[in-house]
Amino acid sequence: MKRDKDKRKRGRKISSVFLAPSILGVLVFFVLPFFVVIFYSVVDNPISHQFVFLDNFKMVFTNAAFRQAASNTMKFSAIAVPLAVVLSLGLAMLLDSKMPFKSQFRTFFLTPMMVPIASIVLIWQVLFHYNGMVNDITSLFGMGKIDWLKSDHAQIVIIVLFLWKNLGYNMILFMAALSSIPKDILEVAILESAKPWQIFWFIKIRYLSSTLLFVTIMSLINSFKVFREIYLLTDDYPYPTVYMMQHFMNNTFAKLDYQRLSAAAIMMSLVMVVIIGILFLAENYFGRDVEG
Amino acid sequence: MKIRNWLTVGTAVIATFVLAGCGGKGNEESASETAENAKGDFIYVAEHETLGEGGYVVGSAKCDEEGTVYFVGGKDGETKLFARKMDGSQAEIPVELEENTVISAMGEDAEGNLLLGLVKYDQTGGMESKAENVAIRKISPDGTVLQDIDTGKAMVKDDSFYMQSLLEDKDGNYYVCLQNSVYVLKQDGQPYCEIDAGTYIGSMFSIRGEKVIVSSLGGAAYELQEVDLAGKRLKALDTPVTFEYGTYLSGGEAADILYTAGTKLYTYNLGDEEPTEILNWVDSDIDSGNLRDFAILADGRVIAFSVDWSSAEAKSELTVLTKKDRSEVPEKTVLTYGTTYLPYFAKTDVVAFNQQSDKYRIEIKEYGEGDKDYETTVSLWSADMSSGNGPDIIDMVYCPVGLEELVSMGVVEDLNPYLDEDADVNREDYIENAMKTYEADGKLYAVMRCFGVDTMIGKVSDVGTGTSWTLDDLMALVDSKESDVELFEYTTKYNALQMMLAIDGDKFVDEENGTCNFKDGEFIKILEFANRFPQDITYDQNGPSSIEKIRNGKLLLLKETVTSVQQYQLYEHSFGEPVNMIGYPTSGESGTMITPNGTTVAMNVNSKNKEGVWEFMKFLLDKERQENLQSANAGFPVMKSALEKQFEKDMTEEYYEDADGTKKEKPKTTWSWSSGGSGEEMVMVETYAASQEQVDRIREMIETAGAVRIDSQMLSIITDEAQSYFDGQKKAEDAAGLIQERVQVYLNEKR
Repeated sequence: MKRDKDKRKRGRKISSVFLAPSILGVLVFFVLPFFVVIFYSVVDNPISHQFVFLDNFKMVFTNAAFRQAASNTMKFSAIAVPLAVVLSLGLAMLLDSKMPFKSQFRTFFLTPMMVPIASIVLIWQVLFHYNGMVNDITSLFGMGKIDWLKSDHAQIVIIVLFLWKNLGYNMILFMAALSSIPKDILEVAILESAKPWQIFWFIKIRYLSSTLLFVTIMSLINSFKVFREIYLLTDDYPYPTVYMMQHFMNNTFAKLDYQRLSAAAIMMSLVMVVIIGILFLAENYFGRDVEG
Repeated sequence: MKIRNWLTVGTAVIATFVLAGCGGKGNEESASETAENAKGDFIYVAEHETLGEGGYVVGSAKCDEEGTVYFVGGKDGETKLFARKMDGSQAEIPVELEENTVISAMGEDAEGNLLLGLVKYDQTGGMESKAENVAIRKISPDGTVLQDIDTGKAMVKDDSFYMQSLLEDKDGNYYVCLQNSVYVLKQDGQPYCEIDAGTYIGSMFSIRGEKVIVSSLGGAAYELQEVDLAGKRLKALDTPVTFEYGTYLSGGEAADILYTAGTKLYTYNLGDEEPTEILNWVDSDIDSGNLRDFAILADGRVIAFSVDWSSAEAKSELTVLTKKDRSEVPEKTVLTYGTTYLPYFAKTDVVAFNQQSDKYRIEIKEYGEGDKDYETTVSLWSADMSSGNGPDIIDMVYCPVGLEELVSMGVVEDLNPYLDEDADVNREDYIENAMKTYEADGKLYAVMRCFGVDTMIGKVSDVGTGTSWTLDDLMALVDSKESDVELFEYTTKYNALQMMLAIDGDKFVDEENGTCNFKDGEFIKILEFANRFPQDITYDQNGPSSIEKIRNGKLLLLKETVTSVQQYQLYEHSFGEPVNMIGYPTSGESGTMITPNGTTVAMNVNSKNKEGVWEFMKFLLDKERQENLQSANAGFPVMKSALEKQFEKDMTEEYYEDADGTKKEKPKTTWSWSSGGSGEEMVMVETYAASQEQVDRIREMIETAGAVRIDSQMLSIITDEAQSYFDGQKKAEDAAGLIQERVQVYLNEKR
């Protein structure tokens, strides 16, 4: 008995030694910066460190640019994320069915993942520039020129870009999840004369729930990261409809205004925590039947 | 929900917080990388000695590895050669020179004999002298002539002939460096070849007598090339090192190459991956910008010859640097002067401060030192500033962020209390609007040593005698002239737009309420005005000069930074009639802007030696320092009495006696430039003592000048959007609408 206890103790010690580098890494690169951000958000500036409690949060919350960025980002995510999930699921279903050129289609949708971001931006500029291809084509039909990236249409362009970039990856995830649905259950459903939509809704969606959650979270995170493309397309201060949270963050960082940056980061994180929490609850609800 | 799920949620939460905080553009390096190299436990202690006693002005000198310094002194048109040895003895080396002959360059052969490059000029005198003859003379250290080679006019290609350097290789061939070319003469003096580098050659030296190397101007650094005698060409050195612009010499026995770049002295041996840093000249109170020659002696000491041309009389100094343990040197409190790139005038001020202060020593921390790109430099600077590890003294000349950002960070100290409490400094002694340049919310955050005034200059008959004018006035002036009349020389649409917004840009912005109005007809008028200028400009090498265009009425205005009364006199001369420095168009009272033109510094709020920083600031504002800005064009001093003294000096006539004994007025400044055009020649204008009226005009300009108000980010948005209008893609109204939208975002963010 005592021997077993010693053995367990020794095992714990050894695991601690192996875990230490990872824990240290997480502490230094995740936990510590996390507290530093909290600290910066409640002081007047990083130099004098005078405690101002929620002043920075109030300042950020009442800032018109922050509100606009938050609203744009929410609008973008609210449209782009469901589209990214639904369209990629649809494509995965399509490619899962018996259709010709499946392999070619799969490659076609995965190609954007291989293209460097700078090239993507270049392509988009060629397409959506004021003198770009899209305007050339629309002018053939007698339509006037639109400054796609500097007008109210800008967010549509960014949504298309986002979908083009992300559909392939999401589609692969769904295809993997679809192939792991037990075939016998599907066969039983067919034998029981279940209609395709019933199979989809009552079986496939249940089995896909964890993948759906994962794809949604990844798409949500990616939707926040679309700043990279927007920044390369439109610079620090774009047309208002594509001014995103990350623009606010980036510009605040460039001005070395760390206190406002930290407050904004915390507010944005809290919103994301709530969204992710809701998604987990939804997954828990829809996937409860198939969880092992 | 299972524990696994909760764990996943937890991880996602932390990752979210961390991701959300990542707002940088990347490429940041850790602050630790900004730290200076670990200080060695030694320092090179300098002993200074003035060369050229007895009234001789020392022009050039050559230091050898034994510590002997050969230098050429000139007095009353007489040139003499001296040798100063390490024991302090100095002797003249007898050299017989023909009349109007100067020693233009000096070199040494392998045996320690001296090579003298002799240039004979005609008797015109002054800057108009023309070179007539070039000779090379080899003499022993006691002055015995060993060889005389007269090359006649073979090497003289233009009148302003100047021999840069001279040396002899182990085979006895002579190498003469002249501007872009290297001439090679055989041992008997017969020409062998001329090798054209295609660009200016900074220096020529030999590596242990084996290879002859030239350093020529490259795009961003020097290119070191070996003279290939057989191929009669220059061959690039195969080295991984980037050789910054500096002074390159033979390393003698110590190394292949000895050079100074920035503030440091390095040695480099071919084949090495990187150079070896020997010392930092600033640590030894030497302004590396004044260095003319240096060498490492056999015993490890360093000898350096420098000439300070910026002082009223050229000051020639010989310095011997001895490596000593830091503990042997009296300890001083160290202050750091932090800058992205070191301005030359700041280096001069730091060295001067270090030389006179018993208590403090300033060390320079140049973030952009070496081969760093701008983004990395700024990241390093920002990391230090935001972590509270910034330098004690913050350079404002090359500060990567504006005063507003520095204040927002809380990194700069309010200097008002220091100014108020210090009995030695009286605020009223300084020009009010110059001091206000770095004021925000009633707090003073930086001080400058001297300044210039940005303005537009035109004929009184064109711009009137007022102190300001509006955009409508300017447009009316343009409309009153013929279409081939230029408003400014070589001005593009972009430049024109920038100029129009320089003063009045904030007119379209209500900072207090965070709104802007670029859709206003006034702004559209500016866009339309800027659109009159060409998109691109081509410099016409053969076209008329600016002065010709002004005199012919083909050029209306100049945009300049005025830094002296003499400069104003030059404009009067250029325009050929009374001029008015009317400034940039504005709806306000003044269109002229004060701009720092010398060392400008702020105090780090986190400095542990604020008293020391204030001492440095006081040193910059000190009466003696203010009254001796060292160079006529360094700018106007910020001290009222120093400015008045300068004005008095500007108005005082000075005389000299010419060769015939006739009393003549001495010019204050001689301006010279190329005339341009096909018959290109040097144009010279001499300005003499100024009149009271001229000084009054300058005084008035200074008194009415304001601070620079241009917001670079806003300007960037405006010019970016205006481009589509300039390209003819959009209407001015549409471009203005886009500017309105984007600037509004910017203003919202600023609040």
